[in-house]
Amino acid sequence: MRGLQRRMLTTMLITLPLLAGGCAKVVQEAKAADAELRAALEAAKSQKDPLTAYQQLRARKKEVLTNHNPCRESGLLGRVECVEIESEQAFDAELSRLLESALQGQPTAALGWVFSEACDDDEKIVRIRQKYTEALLAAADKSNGNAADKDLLLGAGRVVAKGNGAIRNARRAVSFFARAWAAGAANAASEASLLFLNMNDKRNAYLWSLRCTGACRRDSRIALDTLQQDLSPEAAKQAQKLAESISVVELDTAGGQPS
Amino acid sequence: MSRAISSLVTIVLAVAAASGVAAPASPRSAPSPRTMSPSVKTYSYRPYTPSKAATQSKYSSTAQPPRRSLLDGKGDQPSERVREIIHERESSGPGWLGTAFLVSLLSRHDLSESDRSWISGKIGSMRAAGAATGENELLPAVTPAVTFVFTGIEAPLQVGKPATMKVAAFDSKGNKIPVTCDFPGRGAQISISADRFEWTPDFIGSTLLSCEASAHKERRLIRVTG
Repeated sequence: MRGLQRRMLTTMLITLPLLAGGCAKVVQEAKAADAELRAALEAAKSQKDPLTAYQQLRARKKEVLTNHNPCRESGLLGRVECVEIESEQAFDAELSRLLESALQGQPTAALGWVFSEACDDDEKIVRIRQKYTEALLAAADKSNGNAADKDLLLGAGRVVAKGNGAIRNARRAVSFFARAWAAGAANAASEASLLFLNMNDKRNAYLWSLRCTGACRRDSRIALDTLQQDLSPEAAKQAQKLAESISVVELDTAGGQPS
Repeated sequence: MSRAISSLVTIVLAVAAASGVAAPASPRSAPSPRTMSPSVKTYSYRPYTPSKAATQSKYSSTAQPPRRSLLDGKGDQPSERVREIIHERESSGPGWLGTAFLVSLLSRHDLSESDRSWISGKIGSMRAAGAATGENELLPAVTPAVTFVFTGIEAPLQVGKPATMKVAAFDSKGNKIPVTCDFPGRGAQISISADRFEWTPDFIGSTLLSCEASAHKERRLIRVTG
């Protein structure tokens, strides 16, 4: 029994500092994160453009939370406990204010950003999208299609293609994607290709996949060899010729005859 | 000794209850506040669960067991890559692939010489045996019911410079048919007379020219540069 008591005492003497040390660590992490977020807020005051300030602060917060983790798992149930970062609420409030200011002051650029693929996993931005969908589509309809509007047009195409907050309309979506492509949006061609593929229009899916070049990211579903397998050699050549013509938007096969 | 151990047990349990096991935690989700001590607030979070994928293709192929396979029979087989392609195609389609599919395979750029040789040999032997081409499996090239012919729009227009564009429409027999066109949103700026358009663009960007003939429509992208 004495031997057992001695072992228990030894175990506790080792465990106690470890437990106390774990708690202190997350508090330290929270304090370090707090200091960095405050510094970022201060630095952002010199940035006149609200959209740029917003983007910089958002990226910085992500960086800070990656470098400093004020959370840990507790117990056997996998529950996560976090120490509050004091300035986080004020930081998030400033982010919201900057984004609203950008959407009011520079709607085109801000709308293009809010509806871009980069924000698809941001829950707060996804909620904001509902409020601004109509404004996005109105701005895209009026757009001259210049390079500054490429993200606006691409975002409008994605909204209408998926039917998120607007009636799904493939023809309208293709219009936006085609103009976004002309304006230089890198992934407009792949978005158009995916849209046609989802409608089982493999000819036009292949045509637009051919146009996914340079920085365009081609999804595996629209790999050229995969799409080409369903086309006769003549159909593939027809699509390749049409893809080279910068004015062609789509091949209309309604009522057409095999050639 | 026992009292010392009891005291230590009490302390350890208190610290454990307050601080738990120190281990890196996954990203935070929605909190419900709980005060740990007067000077430090903590929040309990549900374990992080990733959301579903944002995009899922609606295109799906119907899987059916192949009745016959191009890979059946004795003799040489193609590379594993080509065998995978054939298996995938056979399981997603009607189950029998004809020579047309093999012909389309030959247009791939990633075939080895031995694969090309196998495919060519297979086509030859199938044709010799009178096999069907399987043309119904592959989408043919299409001649549209109405063919639109545009001139003056292939190269980008120049902002501020007058441009003349023409369009003509023909039915499937080659007869010319009436066509109407418009620039959505820019009608006031365009002079349209019969099949001829004159336009002096006043912006840099692009617009869509939309034409219709005999209930068939075609859109063309017109670019304007500086």
